[in-house]
Amino acid sequence: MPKYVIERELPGAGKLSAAELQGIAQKSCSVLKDLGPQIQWLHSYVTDDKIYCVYIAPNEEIVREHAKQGGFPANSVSAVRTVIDPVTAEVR
Amino acid sequence: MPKYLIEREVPNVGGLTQADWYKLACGSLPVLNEIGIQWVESYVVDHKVYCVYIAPNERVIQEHAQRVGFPANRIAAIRTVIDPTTAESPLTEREIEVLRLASKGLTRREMASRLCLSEATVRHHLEHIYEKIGTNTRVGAARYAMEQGLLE
Repeated sequence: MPKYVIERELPGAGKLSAAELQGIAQKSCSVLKDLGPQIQWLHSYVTDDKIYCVYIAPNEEIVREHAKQGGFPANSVSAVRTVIDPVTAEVR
Repeated sequence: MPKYLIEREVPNVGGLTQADWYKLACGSLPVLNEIGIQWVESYVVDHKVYCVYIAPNERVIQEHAQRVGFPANRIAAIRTVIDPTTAESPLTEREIEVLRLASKGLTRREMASRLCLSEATVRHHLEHIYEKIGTNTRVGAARYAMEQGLLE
């Protein structure tokens, strides 16, 4: 199944308290539970005005459905073609 | 050092092969090492690359982009990383005990004697609790405890 990167524009995101982030995570997890096991939230990078989320999902539609049900923005949803890191530069 | 997320807009970048990535990584890594940036990982989608770096500041990320010829359309400091475990309570067992008693209106001295701790330790716990849940009042803490179902 592909991974997806989701951009969520959320002004002030970087200033959310731990309790607020916990609330968002709880909302997200409860929607994920309803949508079934094929969609998985890996992690999200929280920056000042945008949250970048990495999910594993069978398709883009379910990622958008999760956003809709959870009341989260999903300004862009893109399938990940590859993940690279310093190992990519090692001689194979 | 902070983590940064860099958006690089590159048309059709999703179509590059592993051999292409090998070449690009080999060009980029020595520059990263030289200016003191740690490359964590990068997610490649059709027309964009999202890079995660650990770097001393934004300036060196721009310098790296310039030297290797990568675009850097947006550079944002990562304030925190969350995942499904974020839904669980950020407080320790001990902090939850202190929070329960604080929510009932006990004084610091009463909490200390109830938990066999010093007053100073109770004060430290309270400070940590306030910081973690983003409040600076007892009322705020009690509201959090109630909302999280910690008072049952």
